[in-house]
Amino acid sequence: MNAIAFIFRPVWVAALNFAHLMALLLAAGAAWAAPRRYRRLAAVMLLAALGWGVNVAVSLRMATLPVGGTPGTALAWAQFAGDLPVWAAVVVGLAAARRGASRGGA
Amino acid sequence: MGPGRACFSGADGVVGRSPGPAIRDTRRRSGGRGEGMAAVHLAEGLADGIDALLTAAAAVAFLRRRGLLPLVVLLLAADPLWSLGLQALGPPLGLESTPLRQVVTAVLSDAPLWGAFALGLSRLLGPEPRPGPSRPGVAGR
Repeated sequence: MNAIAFIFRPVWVAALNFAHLMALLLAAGAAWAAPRRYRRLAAVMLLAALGWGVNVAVSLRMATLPVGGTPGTALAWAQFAGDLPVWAAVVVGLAAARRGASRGGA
Repeated sequence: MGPGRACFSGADGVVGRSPGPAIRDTRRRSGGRGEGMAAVHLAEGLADGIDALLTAAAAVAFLRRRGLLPLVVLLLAADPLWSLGLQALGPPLGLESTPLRQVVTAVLSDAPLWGAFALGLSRLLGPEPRPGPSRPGVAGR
């Protein structure tokens, strides 16, 4: 690994994690203040951000484990659980889109 | 992911896994060995199946009714398969041949999620859309 990559990579990791945190906070704030007409979109954004946060937490925990070590059943299912909020966001969004279609509205 | 996919810097220097493909990181880091791998395989298979089903449903919903919400949902649902595709195509295309390319690929693997957040937040935080001209027959509503 060259020197530029050695410096560049941690900066990117920090920037991306910071961006994830900001997206999470923005989604939470936006969901809190969203007009009533956007509450379904706000719920989707909030669930997706929650899933993202859970995945970051699980991955940070995983990063502390030794490479080549035993992942463990609990960690495997914790990662699976980390996807649940995102799947919930998709299901909620699909239901909202279908409801909007059934009303014929925008 | 799937938004496996959290960003982290592990001992092996891997970065930028967003939610979704996290489950695959477990197998990669363990080298596919060790206690709990049966659970990892099961969880991974279940996650892939759910991802595929939700992506297909979101694609159908978007084709039936174009709009911001279906597009956001499609981007969220498709992110795991997008990340998986990049992971599969990365080595043959040389996308992970240098540290810089690894970082770029890691950022690209999150692109659908960032797009979904940008679209959704722009609507939630943006100005209220101005009402359009009244359509015939619906005036006064």
